[in-house]
Amino acid sequence: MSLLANVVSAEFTYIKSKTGATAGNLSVQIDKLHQANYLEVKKDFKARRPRTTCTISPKGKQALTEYTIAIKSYLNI
Amino acid sequence: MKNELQPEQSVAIMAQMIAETRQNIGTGSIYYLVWGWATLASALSHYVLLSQGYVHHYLPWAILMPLAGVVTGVISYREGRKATVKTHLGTAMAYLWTGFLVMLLIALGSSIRFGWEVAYPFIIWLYGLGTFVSGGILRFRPLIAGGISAWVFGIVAIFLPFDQQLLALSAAIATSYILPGHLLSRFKK
Repeated sequence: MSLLANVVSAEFTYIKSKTGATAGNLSVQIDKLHQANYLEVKKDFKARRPRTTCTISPKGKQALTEYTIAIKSYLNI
Repeated sequence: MKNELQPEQSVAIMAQMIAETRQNIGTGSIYYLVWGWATLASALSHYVLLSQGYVHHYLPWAILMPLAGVVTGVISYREGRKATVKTHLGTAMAYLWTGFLVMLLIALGSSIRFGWEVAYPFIIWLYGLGTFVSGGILRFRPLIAGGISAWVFGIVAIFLPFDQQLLALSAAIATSYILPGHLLSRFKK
């Protein structure tokens, strides 16, 4: 979510390379965040290959902000 | 045992992810260099041809500008195909240079009405605006300084005849595109 909060949108391969997560794990995470309406997920084709592009939603941004404030307050930073 | 994330780990991951999105600013240097060298070559050869009384003295522009457009178009297309992320920085730059292109075409078009002598200082200021703003977006001071220098050369150009305005344009391009472009390319991975 932090990664996506700092870009306009990112493809699955980009998120996978930056987070170091496995494809299966990442798919599950994206699916859960999409179901919670924290992410917008677009599936299409690029150079005849399937492409998944993720964008953080306004609700996702709000949730991340609240989480960051809460965790900062907990850690006194 | 359940593997739960500690708050400290969570903050560290968030910081790491933000750092991962930092774009390599050097990747855009090729555009400043291709357009910079093409414009410099066009302006200087235009000046030489004009001083020698050649009728079609404007020809270097007609050859080099479309060529630079094709070269940067191909580079941009290839980069676009490879890109797996759309950054805020990239989007800001795309809007800036699209706006720049539209204004450049308007300035070139209005030269028909007002003459090249009037249009050239505006074009030089426009070049300066492009590098000044992109320098601000990239937080790269040589581009900001280059933009300011182009504005100064644009002011100088108001007081010059057309042929010497080409030299003012050359100086503006050298300081606002070519020099910062080479400095920027050092950051390329």
